[in-house]
Amino acid sequence: VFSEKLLEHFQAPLNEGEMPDADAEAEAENPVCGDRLRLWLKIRDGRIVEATWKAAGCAPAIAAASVTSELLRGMTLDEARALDNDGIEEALGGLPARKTHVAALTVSAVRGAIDTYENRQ
Amino acid sequence: VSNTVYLDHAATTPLRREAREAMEPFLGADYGNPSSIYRLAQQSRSALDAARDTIAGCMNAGPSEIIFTSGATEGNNAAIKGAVFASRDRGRHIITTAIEHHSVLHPIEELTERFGFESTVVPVGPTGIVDTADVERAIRPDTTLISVMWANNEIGTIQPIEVIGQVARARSITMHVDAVQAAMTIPIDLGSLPVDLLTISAHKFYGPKGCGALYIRRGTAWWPLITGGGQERNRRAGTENVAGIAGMARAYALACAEREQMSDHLRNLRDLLLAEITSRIGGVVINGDMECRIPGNLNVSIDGVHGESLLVGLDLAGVMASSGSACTSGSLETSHVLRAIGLPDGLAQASLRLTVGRDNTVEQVRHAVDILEQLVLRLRRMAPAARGA
Repeated sequence: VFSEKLLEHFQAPLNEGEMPDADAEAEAENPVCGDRLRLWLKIRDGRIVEATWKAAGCAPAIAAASVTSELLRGMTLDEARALDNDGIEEALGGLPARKTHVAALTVSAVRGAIDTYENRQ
Repeated sequence: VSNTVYLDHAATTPLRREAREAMEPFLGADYGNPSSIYRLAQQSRSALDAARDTIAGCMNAGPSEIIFTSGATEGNNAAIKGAVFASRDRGRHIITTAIEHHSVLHPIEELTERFGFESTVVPVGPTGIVDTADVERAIRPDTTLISVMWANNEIGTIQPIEVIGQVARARSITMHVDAVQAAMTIPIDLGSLPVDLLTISAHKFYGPKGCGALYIRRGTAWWPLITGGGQERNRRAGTENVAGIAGMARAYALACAEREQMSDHLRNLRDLLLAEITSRIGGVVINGDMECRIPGNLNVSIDGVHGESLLVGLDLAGVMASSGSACTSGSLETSHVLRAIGLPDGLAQASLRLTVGRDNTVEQVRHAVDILEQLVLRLRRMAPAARGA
């Protein structure tokens, strides 16, 4: 039921790991199903140059974190803030309806990280 | 697919060669309707009679006490609804347990919500075994049916159905047993077992899907669920699934003949699986009693990993298993069985059911644990540190 792309990202996730010198970070959690995502961003001149993450949850949650960390690289903060559930779903090659909450979790982590960064400026 | 390891035999088993061979004539030249009178049809009729004799013989029942069904769900529905409808003038109270299969729990819910029956669902403790005294306490003057499974499909625990059956019989209450998960490894002797209705399903013992049998003890108050033609002596209408029934009978006869050696084989593999998992992976909790349990079943929770991630990761590596949880639209659906044994949500979510079968080998089990160990390490490493840590 999961797309090839989603399974690839689950099997060999990209950019997984902590970022000690991050410019922004945020954690999002779905208290109901227990999915957790922590996201770190390196930001230069208003652009995300690197994004890393750690995640616990179902396979789509992990794949969403991985694919989003790829999407974010090179985006301006405004572009990153505009990233929505549909954008992540599309990048994953589709998500079953019962799994769309993993995209929402990822969006919430991205926006949370940008908020903390902007509030600090 | 030689690298795949199938460890989900509680879900279904592959059709064994001998069962397929027993089915083949009825998928081909011997297509006659067993209710017709020409000679072609007599082949089908003879096969049905022989299958009924075989299955009855294996259970020490009379052939007239066996009807053929489409499987466990129909068998359980027919047993429960048929018994309580036929006894509705005597009472309307049903007793069951919290760990029954949905094909028992949902018909009982339907009977209470739509048909004016009442039910008591007896809880179980952390062992996953119902206490006979709790069942006895639930009995009311208007109780007409007790339905308890023999072995649980998720955690494999064996229920004291013999003692519960004696209690039921002493009070003239009809006793139903869902023996779907037990039939492979527990001998069934209805000559001595105080049980009135008993369900089995062919695909759990290497027979075909869509075929089962229901035992109805002679004299049991029971009405048919499916009416129409006069098949099965008016107890289950519909042209019989002759091929399926022939395959089921062959598979069941072999399962009964091979029971001891098969049970040893399954127990050895299951115990190896458990020993390897607990020695190589930390934070493992065993779900349900390990002593009073069918030999092929293992159910563990692996702290800190989602069961669903485990299933996907195992599948990508060729290992097929099952879990008691699924996260759906941001809500957590954990198994009613794991909840009933008091497992917290976090552990229920981390559950993994591994059920071994006749074709599994020691090498396959070791290979599966290698894959599982690597996957658990990978998923645990990937998890963010607890907040504030």
